[in-house]
Amino acid sequence: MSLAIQNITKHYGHHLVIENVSFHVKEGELLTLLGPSGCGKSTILRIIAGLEAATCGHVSLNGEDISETPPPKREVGFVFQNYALFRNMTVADNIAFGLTVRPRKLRPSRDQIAATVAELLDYMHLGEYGHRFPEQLSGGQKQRVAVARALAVKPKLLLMDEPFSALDSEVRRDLRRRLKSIQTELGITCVLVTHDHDEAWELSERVVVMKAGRIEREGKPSEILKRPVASIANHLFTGLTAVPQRLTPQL
Amino acid sequence: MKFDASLGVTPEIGAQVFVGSPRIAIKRSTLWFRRSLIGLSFAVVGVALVMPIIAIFGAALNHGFGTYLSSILNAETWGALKLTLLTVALVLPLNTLFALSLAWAINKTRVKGSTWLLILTDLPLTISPVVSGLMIILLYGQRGWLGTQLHALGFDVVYSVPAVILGTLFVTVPYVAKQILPQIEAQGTQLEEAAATLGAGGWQIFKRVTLPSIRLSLVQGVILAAARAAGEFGAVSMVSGHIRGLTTTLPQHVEILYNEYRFTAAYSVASILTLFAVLSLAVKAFFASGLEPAPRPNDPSRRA
Repeated sequence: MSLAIQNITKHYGHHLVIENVSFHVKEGELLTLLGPSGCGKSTILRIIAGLEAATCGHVSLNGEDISETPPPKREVGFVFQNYALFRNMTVADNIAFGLTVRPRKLRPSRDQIAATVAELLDYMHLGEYGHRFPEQLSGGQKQRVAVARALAVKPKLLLMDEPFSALDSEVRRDLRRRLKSIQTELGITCVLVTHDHDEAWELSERVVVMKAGRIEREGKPSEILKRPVASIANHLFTGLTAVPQRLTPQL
Repeated sequence: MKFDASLGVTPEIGAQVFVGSPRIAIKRSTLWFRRSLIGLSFAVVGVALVMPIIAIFGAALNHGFGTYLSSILNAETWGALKLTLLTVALVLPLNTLFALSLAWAINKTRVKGSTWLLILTDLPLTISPVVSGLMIILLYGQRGWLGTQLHALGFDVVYSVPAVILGTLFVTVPYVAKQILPQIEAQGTQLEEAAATLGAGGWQIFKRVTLPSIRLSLVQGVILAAARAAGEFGAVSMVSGHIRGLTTTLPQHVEILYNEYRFTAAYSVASILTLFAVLSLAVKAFFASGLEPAPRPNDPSRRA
């Protein structure tokens, strides 16, 4: 499913959080919103999911305007930064949640749900953890449960808000690679929010660089790295005592 | 520590050896301080809380178990007990319902004016129960604003069972809400948001996510409210009319017995209330100890 964000602006009272942001995500593409904390990237993600209303602007999925659709009807998967797993349910129940809350007519049978859950547990390498509770899992396992839970309902779009930030660096690298392969394999359209540059370059087909509520650059990682904007150059040169005023195109 | 280890003595022995050094002197005084604080806490609890409880049971059983039983097992006490239990049974669901809707209004929907709602919820805690009783008489009494209307319809509220329930309801309003609100606030709305993105509607979210996540504090709040409802005296005393065996609750029954110099009977009835209080504390402590979330055996995905 392709996603289009058109002229999204968001105010909190008099405070302007997002100013006239537009971008496209093609079907099956993984797009990253990159920027420092507080630049409005998470808010955009929440607006796409319907958890927050934009002051003005439109969100459309496959050409259909979903700006007024309530979150439960958007069929958009969301992986939260802290995973937001239901503590009172087992891993299997967490994954099955999106299927078991469906109205009776649309709900798959018990066996079908069980089969889907088993398949996802296996797919996410969580085979033996189905009966555990979230607090008995490591950070990486929790993240995989959160992804499995979001995928169980076959969403049109997968949104991930800093999904790796709560993990230590080794687990992070491993899960990053795994996530990328899952995304390619399923061909699911995906928007990832991160402040981690390496993550953005490694994972995404396209990157939207944000700063203070606006889009600073947009393009393929290679394009952006070829001619970086100041905020990215700063990052590339961390460790140097001074950042050159003008960067040569060859950089 | 290193210094002690190099001398080959454990810190404890070191402390005895180097009594004169200032570091150890501070340690000693903090130890003394700690002990006296702990001692004081136990003394206060013992003198102010435990001894009275023992005294109540002692006085109740002073003339033997037979007398105790006979002063409990009579029509008046039975009537008071029944009214008390009825009050608790009616007040608890109403309070729980109110607390849940209040919590929902304040934290999940960000309704305007919810802050005022929250502040006003505390009113019964800060106001004297006698005044609460008076307010009910003013409103529902024969000359009250609502009382005259209800009288015209053939209902007389004050000095009857409904007044007892109303008074108790007013006094116990904050108890459940005060227990669950902090937990709901601390949890934030992320779990509910996650459920919403997974397709769950409002009722499903409440039933399957919000309610289980506040289960423990809800149970504790209900227990506290039950204990308070059973023991409420001031407000009920103002509005009940003291009709024996009909509109008297256990606390009032105790007062009546005491005023009639039937001390053993008063202590015996008081012991029922005390027992109720101690039991509810025990149940509350049991839930506060934090149970593992119980797996639900009938869930479909369990078979996966």
